[in-house]
Amino acid sequence: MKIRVDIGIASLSKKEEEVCGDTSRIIEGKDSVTIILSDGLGSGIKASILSILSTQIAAGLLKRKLGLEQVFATIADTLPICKVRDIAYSTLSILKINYDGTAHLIEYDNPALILVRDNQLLKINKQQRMIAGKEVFESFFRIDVDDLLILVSDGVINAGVGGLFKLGLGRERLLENIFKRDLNSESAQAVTDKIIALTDACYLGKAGDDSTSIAIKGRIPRKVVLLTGPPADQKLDKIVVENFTGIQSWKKIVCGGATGNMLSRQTGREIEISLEYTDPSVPPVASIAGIDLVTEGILTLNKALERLQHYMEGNGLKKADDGASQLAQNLYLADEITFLMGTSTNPAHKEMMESLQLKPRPVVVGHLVNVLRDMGKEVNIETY
Amino acid sequence: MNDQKLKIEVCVGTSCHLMGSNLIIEYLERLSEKVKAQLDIKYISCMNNCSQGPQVKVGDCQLANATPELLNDRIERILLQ
Repeated sequence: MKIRVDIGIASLSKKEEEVCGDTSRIIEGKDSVTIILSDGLGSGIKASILSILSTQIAAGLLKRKLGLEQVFATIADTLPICKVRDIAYSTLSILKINYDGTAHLIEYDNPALILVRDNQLLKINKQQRMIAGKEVFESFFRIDVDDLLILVSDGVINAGVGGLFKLGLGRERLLENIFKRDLNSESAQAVTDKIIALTDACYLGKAGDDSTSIAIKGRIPRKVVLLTGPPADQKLDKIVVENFTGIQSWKKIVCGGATGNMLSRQTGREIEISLEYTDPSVPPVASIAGIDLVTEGILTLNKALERLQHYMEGNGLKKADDGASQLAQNLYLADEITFLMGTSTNPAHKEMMESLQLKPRPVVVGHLVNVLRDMGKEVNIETY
Repeated sequence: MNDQKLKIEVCVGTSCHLMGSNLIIEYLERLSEKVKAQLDIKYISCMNNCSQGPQVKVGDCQLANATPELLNDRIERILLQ
């Protein structure tokens, strides 16, 4: 069974420190996602640099498709050892979740991963082994929909040590808290925010160590099907619309005035245009019963592409109510996207598009496909 | 009630949008509440006359290459009748 995960991350810096010495990183691939948590020795900027170094090396190697063992061995070989304490300068947990539901975990000196299924703690069989002279725990297991996985740095486990608790919050109390508050039913980000709030409370607002929590929740893939442009041959209208409405999906999106009219004609459902013009540069959205988003075509697609490209340049994704922002947001949240693209052209658009340097439908859709693939999404395109 | 109102349909398709249908909408939004109360405004995704945008329908009459001024004249004439 195919699976995807939602990931929530939250951190707390040691009191009076500007930066957190823990670093987390998510590397999305075509068939998998890898989550890394590294805790640099000590706190502050030195710890931060050390943990960033570890995650950066891991991210670079994973992008080159190296296996977890090789990644870990490379980091272990390059990590300096503290002369005073004779321990490595940073800890590491690397969890690779394949979209077929299998997972591979290597833990080095970090608290053990917590796996909750059906509101019960699940034991993961671990193997202790030596990789590059370091004693690590390695495990292979399966992840299901609604599973909750939690990775924490030792700052969470030790929260309140010598203060509220003699030996700190501890794994058992943390687990008790997770079950008592039924965190299993909450979103990944809510879970992790609550764990960090708990940690902060245990430290009485004065964290004694950098603390990070990563919550991972299994879910079914979000599939989006997007219909844009009527087919070149009008006889195909019915087939295209039937294909579009028949596909099981998380969201159905229609982009294009003529496309919306075609769908309305074929299904007998009325199309109603919103009177809200939230962004004057983007035509208003419309609504058709059973369709999650109906927008204008070319301008909205071009604007949505701009927003996604802006996001890929390291900026945030604009959250707004205009059609392009809604489209970009839905595509961003999707895991699998199918474009059903008609090749009919509107002669009135051609000249205007050239003068305004707007990309025609096949070009803008092509660019969108590339950007979405770069984001690690599975994208298919069917043309009519 | 809507039957007594003057029906205004504005095309907000790609061409009409680029040719200035947003100016028409801006004009309609700026009308006084008293005038707006006499209008039934609707947006249309495409009126299939893309080369002569913006397209606006006032009652039964379809205006091509519409401008706020043209629309204002038309609305004024009908409402003052």
